Amino acid sequence: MPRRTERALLGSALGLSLAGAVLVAVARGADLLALPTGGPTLTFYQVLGVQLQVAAAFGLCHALLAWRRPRVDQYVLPVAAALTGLGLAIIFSLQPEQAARQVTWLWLSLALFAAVVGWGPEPALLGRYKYLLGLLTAALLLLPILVGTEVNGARLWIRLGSFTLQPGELAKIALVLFLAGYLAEKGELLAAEPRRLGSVAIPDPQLLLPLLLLWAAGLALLVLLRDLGTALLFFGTAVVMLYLATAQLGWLALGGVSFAGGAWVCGQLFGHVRARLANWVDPWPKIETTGFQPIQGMFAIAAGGLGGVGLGQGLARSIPAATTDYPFAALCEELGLWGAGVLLALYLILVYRGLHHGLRQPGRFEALTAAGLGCLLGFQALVICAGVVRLIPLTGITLPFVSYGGSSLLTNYLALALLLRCSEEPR
Amino acid sequence: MEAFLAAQRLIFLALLGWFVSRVVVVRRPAGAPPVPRSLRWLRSAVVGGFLATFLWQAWWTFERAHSAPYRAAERYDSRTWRLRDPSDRRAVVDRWGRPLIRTVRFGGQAVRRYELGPAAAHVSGYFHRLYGRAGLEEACDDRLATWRQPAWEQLSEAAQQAANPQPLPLALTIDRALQQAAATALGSRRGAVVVLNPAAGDLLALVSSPCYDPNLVDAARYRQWQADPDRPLLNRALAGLYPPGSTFKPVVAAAALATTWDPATRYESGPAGYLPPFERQRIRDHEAGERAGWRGHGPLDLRQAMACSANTWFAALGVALGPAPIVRTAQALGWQERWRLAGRADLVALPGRLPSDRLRPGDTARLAIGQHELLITPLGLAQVAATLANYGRQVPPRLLLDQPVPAPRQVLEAGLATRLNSLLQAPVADRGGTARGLRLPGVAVAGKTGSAQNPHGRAHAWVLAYAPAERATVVVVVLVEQGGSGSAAAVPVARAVLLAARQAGYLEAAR
Repeated sequence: MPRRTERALLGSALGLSLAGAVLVAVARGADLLALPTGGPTLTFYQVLGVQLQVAAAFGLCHALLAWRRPRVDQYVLPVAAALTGLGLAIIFSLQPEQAARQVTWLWLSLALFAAVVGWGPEPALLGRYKYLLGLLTAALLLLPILVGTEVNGARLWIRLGSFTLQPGELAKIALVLFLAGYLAEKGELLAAEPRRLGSVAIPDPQLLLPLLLLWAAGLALLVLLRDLGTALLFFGTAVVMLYLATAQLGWLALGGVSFAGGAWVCGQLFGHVRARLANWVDPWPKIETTGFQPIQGMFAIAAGGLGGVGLGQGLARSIPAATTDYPFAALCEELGLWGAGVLLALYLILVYRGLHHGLRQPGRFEALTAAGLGCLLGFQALVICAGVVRLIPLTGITLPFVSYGGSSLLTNYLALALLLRCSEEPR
Repeated sequence: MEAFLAAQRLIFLALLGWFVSRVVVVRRPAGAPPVPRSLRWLRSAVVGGFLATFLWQAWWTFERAHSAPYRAAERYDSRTWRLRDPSDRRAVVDRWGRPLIRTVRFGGQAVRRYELGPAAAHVSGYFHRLYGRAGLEEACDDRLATWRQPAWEQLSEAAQQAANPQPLPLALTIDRALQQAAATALGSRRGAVVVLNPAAGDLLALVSSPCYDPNLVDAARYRQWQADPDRPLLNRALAGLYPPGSTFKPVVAAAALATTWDPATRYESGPAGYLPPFERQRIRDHEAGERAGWRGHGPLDLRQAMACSANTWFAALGVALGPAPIVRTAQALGWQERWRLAGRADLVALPGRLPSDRLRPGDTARLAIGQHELLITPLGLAQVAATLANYGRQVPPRLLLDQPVPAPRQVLEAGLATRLNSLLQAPVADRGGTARGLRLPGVAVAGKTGSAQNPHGRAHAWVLAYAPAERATVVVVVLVEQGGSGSAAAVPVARAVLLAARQAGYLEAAR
């Protein structure tokens, strides 16, 4: 029987998701002293309906995989389903009406996922259009600067009717594909005969030039976009892919240094970034203004303790933008340190699966793409979670699969679909 | 339900862990190539990043949550009311150990029970998860709340019980019987009663009316109280500022006795009233309006004027003195003091208002009869009365029995205070005194009434009283909003409180 592992894991994940949502509903029903300004709530049957929709959508995806792609990775989809389910439980708890909308987005995302996995082009074909993808990355990042709307000092969104989209989300995938294509072709050359400066290997500048150009362009765009989180994510992913393609530590060092430099420059240039840095170091004096969100997040985390207060029983609604930027804090409150550890472990598994496939055929486009996408998803989670617990300065990016938001969910499932396609074992 | 909510938490967490363990345990195929060094480096870096985040979070959860900035910012945390389960909250008792606030189990839920209900509402305040805290529950929250152990120790309820034995109740200086008697005496009229022990500053009773029942705080009632034009949530004893009227006259007398003014001076008090220099409006005695054909008191000395509360007399005295000594004396007596009963916020009295010390004679005359930009809270006036009763030694008020009594401050010269003391017995003891209703058999009582005109309608009725006059153990201040005359509306309330105090043994204690 094909894909038995996936079926069993997916069943558990969907069971968890259902249990989570039901527990939220039960806790809310029992909680007679819920805040009077809780906003609209869903009935128990609506919650159940939403969960059945989720189960149906993932079941269909599993059937499609079993039919069309029986030899792709079996762990990634259940992990994504578990994350989505946990995310829905958290959103139910925070903003019930958003959970209903999130399910609509989930249908769309899984339709895109199915289309790409089932009938999308061979991944290798994408690799041929690497320079086009490089241009696409730049274009997607530029788009909101030209026609975007500014939210919280960052120009990341474009408005289409009643929807707002974040093209930067898609740009991340385009960047991974471009880097994978480029490195699959030039990686060996980059690694082959490095010049040495002391113990640090420096590749041939001629090969490096296109990459440096892209980095410079990306940094320039991000300076214009003023979003530190996306910048960190781009650099992290690019550095890891370079490292994977060339197996040289020099890239990690170079990436780290150049990013630190970029961040410092950003901090010097923009009040918006500087305020975030100041908020990171000491938010307490500004508790009523810029420090409010991080401190409310800290309250939520502290309230959670070891095992949390229970699903649906947290008060993380007090955090501004809780469902998009701070679902991690809400999860910490309701499921505690244990639940947060589980969440982080799930992302770590995504990274590991990506690296696992990257290892199988080192240097190939598919392998690099799989590793890059796995790292992209994992790093994004790491950047926002570390920001919420104030290990690093906070950056307003979404928690993949968990946060409320259409464009985030769509691109995450697109990345997942590409990861799965690239993980296909040869016959 | 509670058991289910507790159990589901653990079951769900266990399921989460089980799920992750199923995904994580991926066996490497036998013939797989070894993991290259570069990848091992990378993996360690990634795992390190996740681990650092997790450990940082764990550290914050268990350690930083008890840090100073967190505790300081805690009032911004809406969970504060929820985490501080009332079941862990300390009980509150009165000065003799009689319960005022207890925590009881009601339908499986811990609730605060306020033994006196509305009668002590403005002392106890309330504790509610949604509507927050007020009164003592707010002001002394940090002493009433018992902090739970750090999160990891919460796992065992029994262990926690052992670690935190039932905390001792918080003792107040309030006397439960006196508090109840004061509330009953004031009844449903708008106003306030403050009862103090002048020597230690102990607050024996504090009533503000109308009030609310702290046992019955809920959404509908809270909205109703907020919308009520009589403002039952307002603590009139601490936050109500009223013109003092004739109860200010002892301050004017103190100011006069402190200057070179001749105490033997007599001023004429006639039916025509007194016309201050450069003024058109006459100041009249209250009898002039009440009794037709009243012929006036004639020439009065200080004691007689105090006894019958002669406005014309004190207006003339005020003009003779000028505003500066009066304002100075009021300041010395703590008129503008921000009296703090306990803790922070809620149980702090508003400072009284004084006019500037440069007034026109007409305004000085009105100042001398307790009008003109002169405002005081009932507690503020009780403090003034207590300082007079205490022979000029000022003791700040206190509400908590374990609060140390600070050393008294001599704000009036002792000899002057002795003369004032005998002067203040005149309204009670002398013929025609306005506070004769306060006489008690066997106990000398000092007191002064007041009927303060105000823009809202009838005069506010005041009385300040203390007994035994020579060595006071109880000071009573009563305010009845728009009660009319002090003698008619406020004196019976003060008398009832004094009787209750005598029954409780306070007046005998000094003998």
